[in-house]
Amino acid sequence: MRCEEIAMLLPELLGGSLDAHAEAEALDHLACCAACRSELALWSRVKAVAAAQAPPLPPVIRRRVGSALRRQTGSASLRTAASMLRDTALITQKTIRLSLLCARSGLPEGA
Amino acid sequence: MADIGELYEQNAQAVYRYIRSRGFDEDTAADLMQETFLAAWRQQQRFEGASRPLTWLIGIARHKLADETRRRERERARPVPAGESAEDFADAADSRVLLESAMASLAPEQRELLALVLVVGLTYAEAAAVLEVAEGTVKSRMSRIRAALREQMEGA
Repeated sequence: MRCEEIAMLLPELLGGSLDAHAEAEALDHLACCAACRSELALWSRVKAVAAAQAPPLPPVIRRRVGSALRRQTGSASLRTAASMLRDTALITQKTIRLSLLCARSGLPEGA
Repeated sequence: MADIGELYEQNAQAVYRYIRSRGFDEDTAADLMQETFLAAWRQQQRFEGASRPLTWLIGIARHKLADETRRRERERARPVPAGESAEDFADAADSRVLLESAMASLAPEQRELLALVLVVGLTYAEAAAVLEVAEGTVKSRMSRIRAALREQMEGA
């Protein structure tokens, strides 16, 4: 893939929405292209600012709204602590991989 | 479709962050999130399964946000637009402040697109479905955002 094509994939890569094939291709390219790593670092900083303006869901609100929805709809599903930990672990693994690539660009990754 | 409890547990985080990215405070975001999932539960027969449930939920949330914004406009109370809280980051590095300033100068729909792709985690195709535009339009908007940010960062 050419750099222009990789550049277009970077926001989806950072958002975690790329399919496995495109993600692998992008990561291979990034591993050997400093210019694209610099581009990744910029998008990573953009993501950090966008994420700061969209704070994560506080657990207390998750529980409160979940309880209200259960009352209103009669649903009894509850999220287990194990499933929450699994999700966190998956997100952390991905973030570490991208942070390492940003670090190699010599620019602050900001995420 | 998955039952509402499962739908909520899998998507609450992304829906909430999307609502916060549009400038709504914590309590309003919680109310709008609840309204979104309740509407999804009531409309579940209409979910065709052609897209991820998250894309469908964000589309519902987007309409709820528009209703809330109109209601506030009628009351002459507007939500604080995202990107105007730079004072929260005043002690951050200069480059971050510069980037925040560059992002604050983007059009609201450009900031919304960034949040949908980078924070909510939608693909370009999914963001296009939510915004009711062609995928090519999303890609060209993304290129323009990148060019605008680069220009502002380098021209400062």
